[in-house]
Amino acid sequence: MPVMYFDTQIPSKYQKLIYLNPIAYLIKVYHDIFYNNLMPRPELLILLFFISIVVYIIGFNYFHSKKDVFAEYIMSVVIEVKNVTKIFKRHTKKYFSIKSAFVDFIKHGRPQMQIVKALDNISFDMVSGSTLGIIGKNGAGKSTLLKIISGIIKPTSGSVKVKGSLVPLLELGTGFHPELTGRENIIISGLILGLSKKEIYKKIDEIIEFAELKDVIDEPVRTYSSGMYSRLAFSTAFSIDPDIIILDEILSVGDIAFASKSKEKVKEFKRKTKRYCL
Amino acid sequence: MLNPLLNLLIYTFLFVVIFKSTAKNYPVYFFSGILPWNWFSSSVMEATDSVVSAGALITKSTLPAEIVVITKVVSNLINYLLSIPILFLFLMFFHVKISFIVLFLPVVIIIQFFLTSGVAFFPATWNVFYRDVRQIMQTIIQLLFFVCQLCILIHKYLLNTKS
Repeated sequence: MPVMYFDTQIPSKYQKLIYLNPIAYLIKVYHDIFYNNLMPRPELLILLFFISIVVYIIGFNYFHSKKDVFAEYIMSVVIEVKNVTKIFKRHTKKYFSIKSAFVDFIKHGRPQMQIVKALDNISFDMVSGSTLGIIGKNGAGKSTLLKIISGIIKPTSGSVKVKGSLVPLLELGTGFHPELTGRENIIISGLILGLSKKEIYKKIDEIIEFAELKDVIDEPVRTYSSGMYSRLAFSTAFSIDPDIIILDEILSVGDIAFASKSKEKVKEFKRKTKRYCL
Repeated sequence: MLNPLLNLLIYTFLFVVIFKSTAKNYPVYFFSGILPWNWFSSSVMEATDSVVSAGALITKSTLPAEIVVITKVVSNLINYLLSIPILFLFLMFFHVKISFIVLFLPVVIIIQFFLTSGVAFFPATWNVFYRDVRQIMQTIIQLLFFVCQLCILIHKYLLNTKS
């Protein structure tokens, strides 16, 4: 914190330097007005006024000239997909023994590969705070694209850049074990999704509450109905707090009441100005 | 508002009670300088962050971005104006003569308004490109504090006029 010293302690050549600073001079004027009852010198006030107007105009124009560039710095791109192409090679015939494969190889030569172009030169940017929906028919390649973004499979060509932590919720109940109880499964699934054990214990009551599974949470998961199963999986998945979230057709879970409740949860997530991708 | 008052208490205690400062009406001297300084420094500091934190407002609406910076200066100006009555109470308490010179105050405030907003535009712009400008500004403001007569006691005024 500041110390106090007298102006006589400052070498005289630096004293003038201080008054070159317009703010220092302004404060001196305030002192004059309130403390010393001194009339501020009008010519200095006018000079000060001109200096401040000049500073204002320069500052304003500087700000104005840079204003157009602001948008791209403020709204940073979080997902950048560039010319992504994914080609799957599919065997037209499947052999279940080496013998039949070998015989076929002798007869017809090398087996033919069927080439499926799942994604063809796809590019898009996603800025922070936005939501992107990907729609299309079954087999159009939606899930493939999401898998590429989340890094589960690699694109044949092109690049994907993701900034921030990303949690893919491509399928519900990843890592659920049927013999374990609901509670244990929440812990395991939370660990897989990247939470620490402490965080899970903190959130576990909230998760159970949201899933409406209080009575059966200590039963093995194999005894659950499929609705209960997906409710548990959804609640666990949404207890994490990532920067980016990828959802793949998992909102239509449970009964109507739970489906609308989970939609609310997604909306709440969106309000928190995070971004997610469906 | 509270902050300068608490500051004042500390300084008064330090210099009047502990060091038995010979400075005449030291609290008035300090208070009359620290209030406009607070206006300046907190405007500049808040403006530094303003453009980035109002990101959605700037990129998604036609609102001119300059408004965001100016609002910070204006809101701190209002703080300053509200603290002026307290300053007058101080003046009366310490029997400092209030004369017509106080009428110059609006002129000085207008000058400071333009100066502050002009200065504030620069860090507000830089902070968009480099987010650590905030830390640098804190240091610069601290430096300015030392230079701005807030901790410099003017020998001529404070000592010789002691009655």
